[in-house]
Amino acid sequence: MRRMIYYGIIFLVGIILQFGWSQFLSFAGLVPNVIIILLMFVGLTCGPVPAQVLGFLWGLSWDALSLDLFGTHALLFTILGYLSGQLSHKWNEGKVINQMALTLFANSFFWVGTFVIYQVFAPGEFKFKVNYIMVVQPFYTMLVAPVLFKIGEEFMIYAQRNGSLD
Amino acid sequence: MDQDFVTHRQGNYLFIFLLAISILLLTTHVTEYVRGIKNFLFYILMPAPSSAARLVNANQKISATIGELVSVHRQNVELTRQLERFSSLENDYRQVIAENARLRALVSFTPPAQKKTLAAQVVLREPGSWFQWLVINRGKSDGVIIDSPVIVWTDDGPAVLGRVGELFEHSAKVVLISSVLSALPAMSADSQDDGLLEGQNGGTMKLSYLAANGKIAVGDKIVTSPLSAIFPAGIAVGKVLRITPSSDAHFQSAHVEPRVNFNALREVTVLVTD
Repeated sequence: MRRMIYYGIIFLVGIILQFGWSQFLSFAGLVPNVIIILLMFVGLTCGPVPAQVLGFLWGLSWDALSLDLFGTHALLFTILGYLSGQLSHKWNEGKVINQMALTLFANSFFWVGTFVIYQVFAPGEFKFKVNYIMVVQPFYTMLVAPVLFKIGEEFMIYAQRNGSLD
Repeated sequence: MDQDFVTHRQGNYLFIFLLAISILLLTTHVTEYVRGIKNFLFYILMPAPSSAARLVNANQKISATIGELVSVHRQNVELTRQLERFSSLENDYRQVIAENARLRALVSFTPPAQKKTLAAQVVLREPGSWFQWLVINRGKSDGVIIDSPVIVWTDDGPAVLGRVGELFEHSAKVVLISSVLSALPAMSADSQDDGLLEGQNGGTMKLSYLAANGKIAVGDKIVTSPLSAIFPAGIAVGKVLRITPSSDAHFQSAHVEPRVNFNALREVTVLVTD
């Protein structure tokens, strides 16, 4: 039960950071993809199951709040959660360079995946414009990643001390 | 969690199950059933981010208030002076309005539906980039309807922000003019050339279907066209950055920089039918 609360808190933090406070992290109209960073963190530290479930829920939330093709984010975040979980205990998540590289890859995968989904599931109906955001945003997300990983690690240590992750 | 609750194989089954649901949602995105799920989730999720945003805004307001107190007195003196001047101007304005109504009646002209303005707060921004949509705290209960025009006030007057795309009881999603879902008739205020302004999901928009022999030039002010069924004519949209020839020899296109600063959107104005 405590573990569920721990994941529930992470879910809420993701929603609040991405949807409520993103305007305070914006730069030239760009917002880092906080949810992808948290997804990588959860996948690396907790394994594929919580990461894919959280990814699915975050994706569903994003789809509900946006005007995009419904299901796009749910599908992509589930896949990203699963893939990051596969690296759990095989990848040193404490190294900043690893955190940045993984986040860069995940955010680039997200944009490529979005493009593919639009082509497959809604050709001609939902327009997808390739622009500078898709190139710049992964790098911006990559720069923010170590900060959120550090906060996440501190929170995880706190949760372990309280027995939430036993 | 892996070891405690599910085995590796069960984890894989769960992954396939979640993928299947996602793909099902993607393939049935047009149905009312999926729209119902989406609206339900929207109502559940909205309070968390909007409350968080309000919390920060409230803190910002407190610190800003202390600084503002210093200049308030000075502004008060200046505004009192201006108020006296505007009182007489308002009197003139009312007389002109009355005269206008009489003249319209004389020529049997039916004016377009009268609009009134409704102030709204931005409660949610798009989480990826800021050029597609946002959510405001006004909805059906405030008289907002689908396609209600949304504008913002800039230093140079009103500017087009977008139109209402999805409507809820107390909130609405606004499709921004920079979104690829947006297309509105616009024209050059200088040369009067008409075109179709399309969003590009980025910092500029494209004004297409401009006549190849038109007089539009770099720096021209772009405003909404009288051809628009949604926006009143003459509201600023942006200015021309560059002009490019179209693949069709009869047309040319212009890249337009929006007047709205998408980085600083807090309050907006919705035009609703009076």
